[in-house]
Amino acid sequence: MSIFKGYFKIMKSNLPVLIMFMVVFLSLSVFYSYIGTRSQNASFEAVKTKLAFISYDTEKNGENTVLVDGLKNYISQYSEIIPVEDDPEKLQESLFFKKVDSIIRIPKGFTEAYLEGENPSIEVMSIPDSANAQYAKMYIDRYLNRGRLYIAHMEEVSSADIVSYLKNDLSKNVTVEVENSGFVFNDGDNMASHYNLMAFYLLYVLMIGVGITMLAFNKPELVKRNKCSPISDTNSNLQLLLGNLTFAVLCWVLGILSSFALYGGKMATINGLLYGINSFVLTLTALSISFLVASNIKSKETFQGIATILVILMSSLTGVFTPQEMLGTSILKIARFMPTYWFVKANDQIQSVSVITIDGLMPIFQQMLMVLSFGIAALVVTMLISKIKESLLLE
Amino acid sequence: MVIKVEGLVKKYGDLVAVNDLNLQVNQGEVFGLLGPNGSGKTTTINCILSLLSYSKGEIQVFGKPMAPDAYDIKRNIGVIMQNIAVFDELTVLENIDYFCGLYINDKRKRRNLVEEAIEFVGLRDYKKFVPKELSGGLLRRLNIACGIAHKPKLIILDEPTVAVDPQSRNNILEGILKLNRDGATIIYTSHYMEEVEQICSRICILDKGSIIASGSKEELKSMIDMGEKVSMEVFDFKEQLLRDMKKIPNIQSIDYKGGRITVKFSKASNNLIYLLDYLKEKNIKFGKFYSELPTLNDVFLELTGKELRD
Repeated sequence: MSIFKGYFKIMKSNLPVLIMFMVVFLSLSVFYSYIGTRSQNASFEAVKTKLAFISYDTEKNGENTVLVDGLKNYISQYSEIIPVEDDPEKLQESLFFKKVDSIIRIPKGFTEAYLEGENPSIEVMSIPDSANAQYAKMYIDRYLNRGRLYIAHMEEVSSADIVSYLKNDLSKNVTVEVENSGFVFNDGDNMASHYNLMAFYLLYVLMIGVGITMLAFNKPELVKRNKCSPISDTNSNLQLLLGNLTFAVLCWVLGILSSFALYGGKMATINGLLYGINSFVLTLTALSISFLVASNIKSKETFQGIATILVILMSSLTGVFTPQEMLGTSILKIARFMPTYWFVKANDQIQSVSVITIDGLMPIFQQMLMVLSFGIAALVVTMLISKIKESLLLE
Repeated sequence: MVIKVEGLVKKYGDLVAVNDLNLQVNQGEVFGLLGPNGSGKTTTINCILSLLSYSKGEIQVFGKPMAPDAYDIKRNIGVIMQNIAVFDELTVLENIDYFCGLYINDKRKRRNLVEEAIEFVGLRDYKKFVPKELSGGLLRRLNIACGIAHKPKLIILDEPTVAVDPQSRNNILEGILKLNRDGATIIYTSHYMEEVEQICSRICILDKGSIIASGSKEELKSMIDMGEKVSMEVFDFKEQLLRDMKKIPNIQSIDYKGGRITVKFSKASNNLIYLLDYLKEKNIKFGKFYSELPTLNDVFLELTGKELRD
């Protein structure tokens, strides 16, 4: 096992660079975890819309009818009622300067028509395409439609009764508990970011570690010298393969250990397992790509340059650093030709897995298969080139 | 017989690098392959080691046909390549241990052999140095240590002294002779005739892929007509006298350059007396005076019409 041992002795000389990179990766991962930038971690909060409420449907004393007052009270729970003078010019101005999102005008005789089961219309003016205006319409529809149920099914019901019933109905809340087999991600707890960054770490560490070590063994003088020894090519290649695999698995294990350090028991979930499998698949592919690059470049400096460019391209274009949703479509089209694109895609899908179903897992395994196919392709190309080189060497 | 090569032909396209080469290396000898750059020495060695395929011929090592998978044969061969083949990332000790480990599995035995090799090449004080910290000479010594640590029966050294200072060169040559005394058969290729002359018991001169002569250095020198070469410093010499000097008996050639005359005599008696008599008769004043026996360069020159270092 002289070659296997030699492999790790040579690897030892790259250790400072590898340790430094591990530290950089962990620091970046912690940083990303705490800023929590992943797009799929969305939380929602109700927003109060700004409304102008103008009513011409009044009692004899000039006050709003009971129904209109009930509607106004209900809407005011979700909206801020802004007083606006009922002058067409002033109203237009209020909308233009976004003083209000919508203006609601209740026409005279609205309550009477409504109680008789008709469908009187309410005039609503709003800022075009305003989501807040839609909310206001939604609240009005909800109030009036429910009131119609009482009118349709109860005899001689007064507007005061309807307002009372509606107040009671619409104030009820139901607590819904969503069962989740895993844990719920939040801003400060972003494993997907950590695993996306692991692509950068794995690619760089394997490129540098495997690449520079293989460059040493691929030096023409040493290839020739090793061929003079009683170790067969097959044996020699197997020892090198074993060395590469051992190193790759060690790097992967270190990455996984860092996940345990950052996320603890959360790694023992289906999500943690899937992240682990996905990163292992990428490890094999990164190893294969490193092997391909190292087999075809002779100078250490050139190799380091090319490896750095490749890793940065594969990381920045595919969503390792920024969410894929934030990348342009043309960039994503190019990114599809890189394994890290599929790796990040799989991570993003793993993030949303809460229940294990074939349909839910299938796309994730498909992405993993895509990542693996890049590795297999790189390996086949490496073997072909090596075969050609071998025959040329003997010539 | 350690090596037997018969009718070896190696072609690179239309170029014939080795042309119908036959050679035998006997056990215990230091066999020299001498020839200018591009004469086919390294190609021959690469064919012997099965590092290159060849167009025609047969090669046997230790009485068995040599092949890329002849691992039993390879186990007994030590190779020191022309280009230094060591790992830049490993120390002197680790490099020797690595190459020795390709042949010797037993850890304790290997440790002893590595120590012996380090001692042999005089790198004891440099064990923990990496190659880039070594001088050219020390690097060559490391290269040799990596090739001989497993104590092979046959050692092939391909131009091991290229770009080495004279002191290191002597060290290396003495080491090779010691390896030979310890029982190893040596094949030594070089374009430095002095080295080959100094250490080889049998020499094969190659030119353009063919053997032009082989034998001991004495046998090779006896193949040519030249008996001795005289060179002397002359004062107030008129070049017109050169033609007249050719009348001196047994002169093969005469040359005047930079105040120095070089005369080559064919094998005969009293050559120096004839020359001194002539100088006295013509009252030619001379200073330093040297007489040399023919060298391998003279052999090569006479056989090929060109200098070995051309």
